Amino acid sequence: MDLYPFFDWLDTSLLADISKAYGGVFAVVQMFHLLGISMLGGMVLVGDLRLLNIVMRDIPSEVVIENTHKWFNVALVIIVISGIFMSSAVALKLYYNTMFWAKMASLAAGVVFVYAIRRPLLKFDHATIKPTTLRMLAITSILIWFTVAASGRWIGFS
Amino acid sequence: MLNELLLKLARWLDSQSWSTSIHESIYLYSWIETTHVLTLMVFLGMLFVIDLRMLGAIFPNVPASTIAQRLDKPMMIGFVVMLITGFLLYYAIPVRTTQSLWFRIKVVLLIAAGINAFLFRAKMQASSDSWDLDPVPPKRIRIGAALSLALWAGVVITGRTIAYDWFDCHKQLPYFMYWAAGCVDEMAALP
Amino acid sequence: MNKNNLEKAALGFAIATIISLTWFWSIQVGWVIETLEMAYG
Repeated sequence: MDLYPFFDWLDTSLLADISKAYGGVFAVVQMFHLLGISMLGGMVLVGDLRLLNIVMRDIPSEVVIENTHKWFNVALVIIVISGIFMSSAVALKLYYNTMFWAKMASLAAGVVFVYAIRRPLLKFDHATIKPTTLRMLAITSILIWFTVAASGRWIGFS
Repeated sequence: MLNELLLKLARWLDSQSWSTSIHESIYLYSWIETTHVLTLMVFLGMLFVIDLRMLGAIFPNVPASTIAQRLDKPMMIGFVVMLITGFLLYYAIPVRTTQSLWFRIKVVLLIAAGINAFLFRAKMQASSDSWDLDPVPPKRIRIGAALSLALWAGVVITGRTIAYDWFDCHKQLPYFMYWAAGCVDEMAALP
Repeated sequence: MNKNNLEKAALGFAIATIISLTWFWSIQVGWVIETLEMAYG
């Protein structure tokens, strides 16, 4: 599946007209992107550090995980929307950028991981799940989202 | 007077070989910058959880003070890393940054966020007994939390815009901006 | 999916992620080292 037509379309879309012409608008959207990343990072870290028994040990991990779901979703939506806007400014360049695709791949992996594995599994009583599995879940989650963020920053350098 | 002094300090930092090394390095500057940005997930991430709790939007069944206390340490770890990397970023490009309008606004916002956090903590310690278990804290607490988020959002955007040269001293600017950016040497930022 | 299978899927996903990300980052670090060697010898 070649996504070139999408990037070609994005490059000349209304979004691109705005993102290319108005640096200020771009910067504000980027701020939302960064705030979204922070929020997502916070929700992921709080949950994962709890699963690793590092923070909030006196609060049941089920409660911690439950509470982070909603704001994780909010953060992801903010990130994706602002991300599409930002990519419209350099759509064709991104299409040929390896780091961008590395980021998209890890993002896709992250989304599948969260909605198909982490959430459904953590709905069960955590005491009935092997501690090793819980720890592996947490490490995987931190690794994936760190990679998404780091490779995202690196797009700008490469 | 103050601006001359700051520029002098910046020039002194700029003359040090470490400053030049970071600035001219192939990767070091990018790594420091990446660490600075990625640590947002730790520092602002924890702050988001705490402030959202104070807004009554998360962890309704856990006491507000518990959330604030338990997440204080990871948040401060993030803050220290941001402070160190932030200083290194300034140290690498001191002269231009000193005369940057955005950097100056950022410092002011940082101080404001610090004062807000200090007042917030004091207010919380004085009154948390009465509302600690409430899913939604009282209004003055919510205002403090919203202010905190708004100030940090301001810090993030001004931090980002330091990289843009829209209002650098060598550009044609309204007098007010010259004044606010503290332009002493208009050509200082140019290579 | 039942819980047992989910747990297995989680472990499989975790191992696959850890392997592929270690591979990914080691390539990046390799490039960095290569560039630094070219620049500073």
